[in-house]
Amino acid sequence: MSDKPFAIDEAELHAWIDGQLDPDHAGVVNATVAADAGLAARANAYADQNREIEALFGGVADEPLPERLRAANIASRQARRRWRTPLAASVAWLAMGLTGGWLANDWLASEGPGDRVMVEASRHVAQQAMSAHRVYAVEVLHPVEVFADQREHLVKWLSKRLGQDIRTPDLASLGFELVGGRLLPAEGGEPAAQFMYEDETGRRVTVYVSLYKSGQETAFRYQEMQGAGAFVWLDPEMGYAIAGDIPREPLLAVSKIVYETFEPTH
Amino acid sequence: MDTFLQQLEQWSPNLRRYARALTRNAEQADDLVQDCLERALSRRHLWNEDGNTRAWLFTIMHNIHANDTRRRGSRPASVPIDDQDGHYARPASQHSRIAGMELAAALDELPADQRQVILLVALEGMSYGEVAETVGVAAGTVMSRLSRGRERLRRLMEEGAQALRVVK
Repeated sequence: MSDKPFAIDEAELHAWIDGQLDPDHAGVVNATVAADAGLAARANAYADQNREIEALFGGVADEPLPERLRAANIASRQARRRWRTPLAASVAWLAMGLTGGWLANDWLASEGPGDRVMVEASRHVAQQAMSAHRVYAVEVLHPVEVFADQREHLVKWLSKRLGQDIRTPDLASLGFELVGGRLLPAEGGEPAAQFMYEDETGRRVTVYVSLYKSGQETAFRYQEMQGAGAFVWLDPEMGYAIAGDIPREPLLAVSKIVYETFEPTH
Repeated sequence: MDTFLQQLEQWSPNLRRYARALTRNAEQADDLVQDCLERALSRRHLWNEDGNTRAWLFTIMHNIHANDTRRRGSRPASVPIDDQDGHYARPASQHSRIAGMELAAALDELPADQRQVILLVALEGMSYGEVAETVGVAAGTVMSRLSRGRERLRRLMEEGAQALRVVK
């Protein structure tokens, strides 16, 4: 670069302003800028920008960190929450033999204000999933946009649109076969995906996956609305809900497979 | 406390400063930092002890902010006038304050990708290579965003200064 000492390029000018040049190189730029009033004015203006930005916001780094932003506090909060994560919940379900009356529609009583936000978020995702289920599960001719015979294309397409690794859970062990899937609008113009499954009696189950950045994980919840129910959980990036024309217990069995498909690290 | 938590605590003030500059709203900025730390903690398995933790954390925050901005879309957060540091309520009394506000306003006019690069260099003193790593683009792209952004800022500030003279 320094083989043309009297013509510096834009990159060199900025690197010089930001102190990112070695001393020799900086000396050359220094001399060139000093000899060119226009260049000097521009360089001064850029350097002033750095100084003003520092003056405007620099002090924030010296303010005491609020308790809620202490990493240790967040870590212990997450550890406390962990027993309520979906895996822990499903283990609890197994332990209780999946007998009825369990926690049906209510949320754990010990939840704090932050958890209430998450409850609202889960409810929201569940409602969107149930609305989509009601609309499409009754469709005979056009239940899906892309049918299961193009499963590979379907998965690739929806993964691309959601920017996430989307999979189609294998529900064959429960008697449900993939019909296909579609793209749906979710809140805020974000895309969502719906996969539809059907058993041999024509009962349908839909798996709804939407981008829903919450930064947190929630427990499995069961949400009921107008006689239909859905299991829902959130992970830090996405919301998942499983809705179906089937009772709660078989729907839970479906939900567990879906969960294991999408959260394989748990 | 383990090394990971120590690293997070070490960089938290920096994250907070950058978040404040990005959002220009104290509450929103701290929410952003909290989201970032929560996500970092839940992805601890992706943390590379020998890597650049600062760039890793800033990348996480950066992605969250980009998602938030997209989600909000045409529905900007409503901010009570009082929260704006007296932006609208009180006349500025010092020249430096006027200049500072002009810069803040001019920064808002920039495309987000140019603003981010300018802020990372000015506030964090990041090398261009680190900025490239953080933002996830090539070094040449960082340079062109920096160069275009700074020139645009300079012109905006010049126009602002001229307008001020006309008013006087």
